[in-house]
Amino acid sequence: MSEWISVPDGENMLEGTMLGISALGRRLIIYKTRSGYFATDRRCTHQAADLMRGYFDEDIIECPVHQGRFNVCTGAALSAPASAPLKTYPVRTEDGKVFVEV
Amino acid sequence: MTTADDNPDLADDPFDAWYAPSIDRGTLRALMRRTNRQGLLHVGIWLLLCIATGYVVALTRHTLWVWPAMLLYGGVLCFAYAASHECAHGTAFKTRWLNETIFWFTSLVFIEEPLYRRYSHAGHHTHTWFNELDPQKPYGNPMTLTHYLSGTFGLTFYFDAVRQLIRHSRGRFTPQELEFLPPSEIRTAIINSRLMSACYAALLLGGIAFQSPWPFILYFIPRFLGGCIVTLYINTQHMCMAEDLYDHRQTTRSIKCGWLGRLLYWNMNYHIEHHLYPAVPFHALPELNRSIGDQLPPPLNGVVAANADILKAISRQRTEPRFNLSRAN
Repeated sequence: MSEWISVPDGENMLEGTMLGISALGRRLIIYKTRSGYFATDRRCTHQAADLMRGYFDEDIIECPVHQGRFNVCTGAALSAPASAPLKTYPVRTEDGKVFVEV
Repeated sequence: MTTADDNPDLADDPFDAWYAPSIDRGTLRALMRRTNRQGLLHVGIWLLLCIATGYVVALTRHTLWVWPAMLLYGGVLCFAYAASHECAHGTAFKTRWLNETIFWFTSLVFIEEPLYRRYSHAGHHTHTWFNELDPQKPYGNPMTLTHYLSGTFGLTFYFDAVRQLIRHSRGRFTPQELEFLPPSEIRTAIINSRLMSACYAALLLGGIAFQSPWPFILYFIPRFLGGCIVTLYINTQHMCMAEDLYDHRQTTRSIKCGWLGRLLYWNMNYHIEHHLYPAVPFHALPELNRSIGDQLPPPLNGVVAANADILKAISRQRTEPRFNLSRAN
């Protein structure tokens, strides 16, 4: 059963930044890109490194340890050593507030 | 309950076991920034040096001077290793296709299949200098002089690289290789290995068929001779350091280098810094060193001094097999 969760301070995020959140026992990252807000799991699918320590540029998050890359909009693994996709979550905005479905 | 936790680390991050120096997160993010300029500059200068030293080989080809000329040219050529390594991390260029193109080209020069290299190098960063776990740990303590000489002066590395390429072309991988190369990537690794083998075979057979010396004096022999020069640099990374520790300060070594060494080696003399933060591109490593250098052991004074230190340690390991060059000693 999923639930829409309000993202604290999501409305204040600048383009090109990311925000780590905890919701319903999950650790997620909210990204603000040129094309809007997106959300993914926080752990790399390769060896579970913390992607909040990674390099985020345009629509791509890169693992800080092995440089596997993921598209934050689709979760697709873009380059080795990442091969499994990152789980993504729907995000919507309402009256300036940001919500993620967990 | 939803909470923002931008700053706190994941409680069970598997990589938290490793020593990490203190550095401001904003500074670190700024250091991770990518650019094409520095990568293009390094590749451009490397290619110009290859052309210049290769021209000397051509000029001296009918004299005995061709041998030192091939050593010099081969030494420069084999620094393809450094570009290939940076591209394996994906940090050499901001533009991805540029990174992957240079990765392929320099891996071809250095004789390392790029996809396999990327996975095995990821394993090296996961398990840096852990016996049985680090896929890029070809030697351990105690070292012997035979290990050092055969590993450094090309024979072992060159023939191992060729053997591995042939094995991968035939679709044969060792159980250890299959631990870090996922099944979904094996087909690509085999195709890459076959393409690379075809390139070397065409060069070799072309040289024989047309009775041309060029493939031999501009690739095969210099690649063989020059390998020892880059290997002297590679030796400084981990050789005779402590093993099986979650602390890059003790398992890894940084050295000082002159401008030419730093240029050809793509700043990998800052090797502790590179292992601590592999997402920081090569061109930002001096700046990273300025931020955290006071928390790291002081670098050794150059590649010759580091290799001399290694040779002294090898001598000492004959009587003290557990001796290593970690600064904790």
